[in-house]
Amino acid sequence: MKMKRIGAITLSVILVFLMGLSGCGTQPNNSAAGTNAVDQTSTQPSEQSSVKSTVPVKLSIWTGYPELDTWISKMAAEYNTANPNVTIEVSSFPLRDFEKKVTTSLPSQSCADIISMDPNIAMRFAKQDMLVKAPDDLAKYVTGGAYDPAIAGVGQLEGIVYGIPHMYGTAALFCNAAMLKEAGLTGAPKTMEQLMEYAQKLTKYDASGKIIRSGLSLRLVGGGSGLAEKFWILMMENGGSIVQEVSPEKYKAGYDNEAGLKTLQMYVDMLYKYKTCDFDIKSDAEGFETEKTAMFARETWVIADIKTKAPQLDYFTAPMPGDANIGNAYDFFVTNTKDDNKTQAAWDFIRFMMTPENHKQMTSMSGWQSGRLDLDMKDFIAENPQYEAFFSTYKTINVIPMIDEFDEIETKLADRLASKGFTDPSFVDNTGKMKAFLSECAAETNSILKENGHLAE
Amino acid sequence: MSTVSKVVKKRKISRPLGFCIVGLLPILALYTYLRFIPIFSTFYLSFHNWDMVSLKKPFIGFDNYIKLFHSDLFITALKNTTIIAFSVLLISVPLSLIVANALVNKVKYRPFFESIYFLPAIMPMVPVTIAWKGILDTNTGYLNYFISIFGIEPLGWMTTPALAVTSVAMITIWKILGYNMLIFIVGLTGIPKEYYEAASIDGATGFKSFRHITIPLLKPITLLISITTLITGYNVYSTVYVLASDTQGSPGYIVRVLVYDMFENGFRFFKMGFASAEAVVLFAIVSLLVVIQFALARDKGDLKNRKKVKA
Repeated sequence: MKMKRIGAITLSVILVFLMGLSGCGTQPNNSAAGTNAVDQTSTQPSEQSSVKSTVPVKLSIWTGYPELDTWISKMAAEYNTANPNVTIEVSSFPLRDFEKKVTTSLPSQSCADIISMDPNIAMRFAKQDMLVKAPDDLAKYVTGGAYDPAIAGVGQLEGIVYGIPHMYGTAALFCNAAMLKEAGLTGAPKTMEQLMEYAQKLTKYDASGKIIRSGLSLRLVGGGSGLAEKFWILMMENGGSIVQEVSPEKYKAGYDNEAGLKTLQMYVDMLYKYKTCDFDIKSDAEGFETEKTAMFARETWVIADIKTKAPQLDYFTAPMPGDANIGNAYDFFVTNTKDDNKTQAAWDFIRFMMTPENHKQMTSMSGWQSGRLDLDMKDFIAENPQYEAFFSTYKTINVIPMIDEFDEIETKLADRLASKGFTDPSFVDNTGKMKAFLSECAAETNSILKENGHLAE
Repeated sequence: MSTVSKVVKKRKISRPLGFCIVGLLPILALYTYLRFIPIFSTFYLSFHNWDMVSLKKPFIGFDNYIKLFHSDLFITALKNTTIIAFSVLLISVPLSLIVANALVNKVKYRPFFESIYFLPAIMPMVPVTIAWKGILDTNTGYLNYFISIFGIEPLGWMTTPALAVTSVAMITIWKILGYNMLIFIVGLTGIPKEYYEAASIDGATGFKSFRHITIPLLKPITLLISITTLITGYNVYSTVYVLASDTQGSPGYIVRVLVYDMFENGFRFFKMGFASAEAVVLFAIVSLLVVIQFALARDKGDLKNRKKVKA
């Protein structure tokens, strides 16, 4: 009997313990500032826009871009000087790890208080009240003309602002000036045809015919969606897109056409016909910095990277040659911690970082553009002429469509391109085969869209 | 009434047994919470459509499994993982037995060599793979430099499909060899020397004694090592993740393995139900292979003896 009682007590203790553990993951409630008014006059964020609490607050901020660390840490230190009750811990992780970390930590409420994230991923969490709505003043600022409407729109859900765009990624062509001069070329290529010609003239081979310097670096390998995104940038110059919005919230694959074919043919020709690039030569920023490639397309952060890793490099940047570009916005979001003091402090710190004088420092310290229309960058561009190409205006600017499945579409297209599209030499001069391959890829894209209820039938 | 009380009496738990149960309960509870519940949750989720953040989890029956076997990526991952797992099993187990046997019998400075072979097993996989990435680099890697001594042209160890899978298998073998070797050494030192002495009197030395004494007596150890190696092979992930994580690495598709695919579907595409179905399939494959290994390793002579005893 006694044994039974001991057993029952032990079992009860264990059950209570287990219930306690299970109860750790309660659903968050949204304690944010109220609904935002839309389309107000743009007023730049100011440091004195709210009554500040003196309660000690410890904030954390996570990003997927380590190059932002210096700027955010400086901002955190300055903010702490002005607000000694608020301490801020800054952490950054490689992008894909950061995204996974946020994905797993947000539902369990162990995420940072502020995250800098691609709105395409973040808005999924906003739908579940895991992110906090922006306070009125910041919301009015975002929607009041300080940004291109496409950039302002990606951090909103049904007209309510959640994200404050602080970073903007758009591509420009990086050209090695010395290599162009050596090849007798002046200025950057202005058309896609010229780009091909330049690539051929700039490629160097050793005695055995092996490429020792690529003319134009193409993204051919690597996991994730980056490979398809680089394909997209070049395809845009030919008038294509990964997905095409047919009617509101209804899409279809946008590359199973002439633009897609032209771009795939360009890759295939560069790899197997003209041999201006291969799988083994160092590519991307690393290839450019080590002078293994003469040209490549990338965002502004490379300028800061070159300053650190290859300061002697003689190069210039130029607008993309097809009057079209992609614009990726990254927003600050505040996570739902259910602690009003934290939420208030988090928004106040964002407000502080977004003041014009502070936000301008982001570009000079990290190399990333702000994407704001109300920042006067003339003095900065005069000092850093390589940035000028990134402020060019384009006829077409595409932003990542706000559909949850876009990352899956891009990643799976990247996989197909890497495994077959770029590796099959028999594609050379075989239009039928390339068309069939693109149709196969498009069928997958459309089936993912269909699965998520976004396919335009 | 009396029958019931008799039954109750029969089921009464003795004091020592009760003490054991009470003592084990906390551990069992923790094990249930940390092991059984996640396993059952995985099975449960595989029949649902869940994006990991929403409260709704609609039941979709076998839809995830049907999609799974129509997914090119899953089939590629399954194929690659199987090639890697069996390569690791078939190469690392005999090789580690040979190394262990050599170290136990013939080598001077045995502790030094044991440490050298065992070192990879204690090194974290991520920095190790980064180092391997440098070794395997087509242009600047040591491996291509080494093969160039023999007049072989540089190979794309991380970019050619077959070689990329080979590279992952090679790194995994390098990593697990020392661990397997250590277990074999424990087994080898446990074999009584008298057996070898008796065999040598009968003229069985060298390979003969290895074939007829060492291998049969190491059967339980070999079984254990084979199972852990196969499980390790099927769970390969971090090597692939590091190799495919940047622009200079392997294409993710070429070295796609099951756990990588699972992780991508679950935590990148938010398809937790689909990823759970993949986990269930992996669980089923590994379980089936373990059962087959047990069946193959069962001593036929022992089985006959048992049958005789029963008869």
